[in-house]
Amino acid sequence: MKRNLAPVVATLFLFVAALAVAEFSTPVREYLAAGTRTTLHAPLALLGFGRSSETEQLLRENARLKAEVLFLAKEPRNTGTVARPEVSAKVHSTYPTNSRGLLNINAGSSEGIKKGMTVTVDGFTFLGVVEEVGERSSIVRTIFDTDWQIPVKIGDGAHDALMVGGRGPRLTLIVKTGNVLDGDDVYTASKEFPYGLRIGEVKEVKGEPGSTFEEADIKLPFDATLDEVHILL
Amino acid sequence: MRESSIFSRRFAAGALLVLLAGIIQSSGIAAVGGVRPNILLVLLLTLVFFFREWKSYAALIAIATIFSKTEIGFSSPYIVIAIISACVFLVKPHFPGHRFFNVILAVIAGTIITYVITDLKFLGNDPFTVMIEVVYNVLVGIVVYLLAERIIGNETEFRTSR
Repeated sequence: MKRNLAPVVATLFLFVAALAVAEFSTPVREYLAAGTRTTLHAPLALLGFGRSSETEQLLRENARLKAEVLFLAKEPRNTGTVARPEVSAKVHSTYPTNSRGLLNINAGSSEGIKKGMTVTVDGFTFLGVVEEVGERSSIVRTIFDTDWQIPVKIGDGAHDALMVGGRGPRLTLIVKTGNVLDGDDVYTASKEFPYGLRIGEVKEVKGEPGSTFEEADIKLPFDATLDEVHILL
Repeated sequence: MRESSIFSRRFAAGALLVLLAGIIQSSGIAAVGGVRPNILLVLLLTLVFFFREWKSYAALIAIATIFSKTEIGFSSPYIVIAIISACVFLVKPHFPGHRFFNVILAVIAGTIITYVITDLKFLGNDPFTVMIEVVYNVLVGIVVYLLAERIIGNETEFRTSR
C-alpha cells in the first residue's frame, strides 16, 4: 500500500514544485510563447495556408474598411477621421479546449488595460471583452465562447437579435419580418461596448413555420487563430 | 536495462515532445474547421504507455504544467489534463489490450472526461464538436504513438496485471 502511494505523493510534490518554478519563469515563457506563435505561422504561410498571404491581407483590409464605414455610419459623433486610443497586443495562447474562446494576450495593467474593455480584431471589428487583467497580460473572452450571449443589431433596419457565441457564432431571437437577409451586417448593440462595431454578416436565415423568431449563422471576416488584437481604451 | 531516469535520453525526448505539444496547442494553429485537438492531453496519455518509471512520467506532467502557467494563472483544463494523466498512469496495468489500442482507448476516455470535469454543459450543448475533437485527438494520438515508438523507443514498457 505504501509503495502504491509513493507515486501519488511524489507527483503531488513535483506538481507543487512545478507551480513554484512556473511562478518565476512566467514572463520569460510568455515572451517566448508570443514569438513562437508568430514563428509557427511562417511555414504555414509559405505553404499557402498562412494568414499573411497577399490575398488574405487584402480581404482583411476590405473587412476592416467595411467595419469602419459601418461604425462611422452608426456613430454620429465620429464624422470624419476616427482617432480612438487603442492598444495592440499579441496573442500568447488560446484556451486548450473547444468550449471556451479565451485568449491570453501580452498586454495588461501596465499598458492601461482594464477589465471590461472592448477587444477588436482591427479597431472596428468586434472580437470580445477583457475578462481578467494581470500586470503584463490579460485574458480576453471572445465571441467563440459558447457561454456568451450579447444583444446585436442587423442591417440598415437595425433589427434586434441575440448573438450566441461558439465555434460558429449564431443569431437567435430575430423577429420574423422577412427583412433580415443574407449578407446584412451584424453589429454590436450592447451598452457595454461601443455601438456599431461590426461582427460579421448574416448567413443562412432559418425559421420554423409558425414560429415568431428566426435564427441565422454569422459569417465572420476573420478566423479564430488571430496573432494580434486591438483593445479600445 | 534501467528505465528512463530523469537524465536519460528517453526522458529528454519525452520532455521535448511535451514542450512541442504545449507550443502547438497554445498557438491554436492545429485547428481544423474551428476544432482544435488537445495535443498536450493526447501526448501525455500516449507517453503513459512508454514510461514505466513513475518519476520520469511525473516529471513530464510537471513540465507540461509549468509550460501552461500564465501570469493570470492556470487554465483549469491544464490541471485536469495533469490529473487525468496521473490517474491513467496509475491504472494502466488494468488496460486490456495492445499498447496501440490502449493509447486509443485512453485518448477517447481522456477527452470525454476532460469535458465532463471542465465543462459538462458544453458536452450536452455541443456533443458534435466533442465528437469531432475525439476523432481528431485519436488521429493525433496515432501519429504521436508512431512518433514515440521511433523517438522514445520500441521496448514494451507496458505490462498487464495478468
